[in-house]
Amino acid sequence: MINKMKKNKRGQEEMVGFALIIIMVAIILLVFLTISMKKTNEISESSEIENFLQSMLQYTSNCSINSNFNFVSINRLIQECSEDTYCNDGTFSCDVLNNTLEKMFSVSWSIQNTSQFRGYELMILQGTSPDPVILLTNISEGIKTNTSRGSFQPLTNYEQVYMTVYY
Amino acid sequence: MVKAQMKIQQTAFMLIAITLFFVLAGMFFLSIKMSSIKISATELEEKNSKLLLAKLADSPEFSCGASYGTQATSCIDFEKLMSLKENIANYSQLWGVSDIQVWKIFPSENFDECTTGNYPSCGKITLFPEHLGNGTYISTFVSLCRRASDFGFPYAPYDKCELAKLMVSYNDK
Repeated sequence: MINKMKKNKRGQEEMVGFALIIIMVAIILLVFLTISMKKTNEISESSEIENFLQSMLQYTSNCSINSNFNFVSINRLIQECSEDTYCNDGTFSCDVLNNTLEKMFSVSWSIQNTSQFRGYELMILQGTSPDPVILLTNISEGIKTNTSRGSFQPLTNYEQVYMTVYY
Repeated sequence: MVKAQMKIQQTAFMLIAITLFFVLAGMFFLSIKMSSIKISATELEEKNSKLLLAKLADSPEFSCGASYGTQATSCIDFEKLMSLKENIANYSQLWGVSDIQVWKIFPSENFDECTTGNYPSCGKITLFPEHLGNGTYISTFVSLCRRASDFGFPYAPYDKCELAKLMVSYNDK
């Protein structure tokens, strides 16, 4: 009788041990799965945004410098803005730059319910790290999410253009 | 003898249970992996499409080359494009695409189809209008450049570049 009870207990112990092993393996698998699927908040490069930045920098603005028909590109206008120069018609180069970019972005990256992206941000900096001077930061709209793509264009005179689109 | 048979049965059941567990876990893991392969395939197709757009934008029939200052990328010569539109019959099989359109995005005055009559105050150029709406369209931003003059040529000409979108359609496989 006592031997029979001992046998039953042994069977139960083995079942408990087996169940514990299964549970431990399941937990290890779950942890491994969670780590491998964790999304990091990295900004991945986007060729579309890179093309947009290159095209944006080539855009001919309404600001003429030195002569009445020497209309400068956005690229050149950023340099003029960094030197605080004025256009031939008396407008401040940074104002022209800001207005032009705002209108361009509102048309090109219009945020609607059906659009893929939910926000964007453009930053133009001057200087080298660790203390670059911010020339323009107010070209932004929408909301910033954890999924984003961006691009970066270095210009002459240590200016840098960063653009991020949030999805 | 019976004891040995019981032991063998216990071992057999345990092995079956472990095998079943690992098969289920493996299937779960595989289904997650397969979905990530699908995402990779889609990303690869998107990458190939973007390469096709870049190839077109930089091809001699479209590209600005060194016409507008320094050699620029993502730049399409508006005047070349108009000339190409007039002679498009000779280029129908060159690029392996169904349709090519260029839309002026900024500043956008209108979306009228460009002709020799309304150039450059127009908004859109369609190279293969007979294939309009066929296939999947992909697009990228480009710079659309031309020589402009506020007082009429040849007085005070200057380079004018505007923001546009190059759209290409290809037939789905």
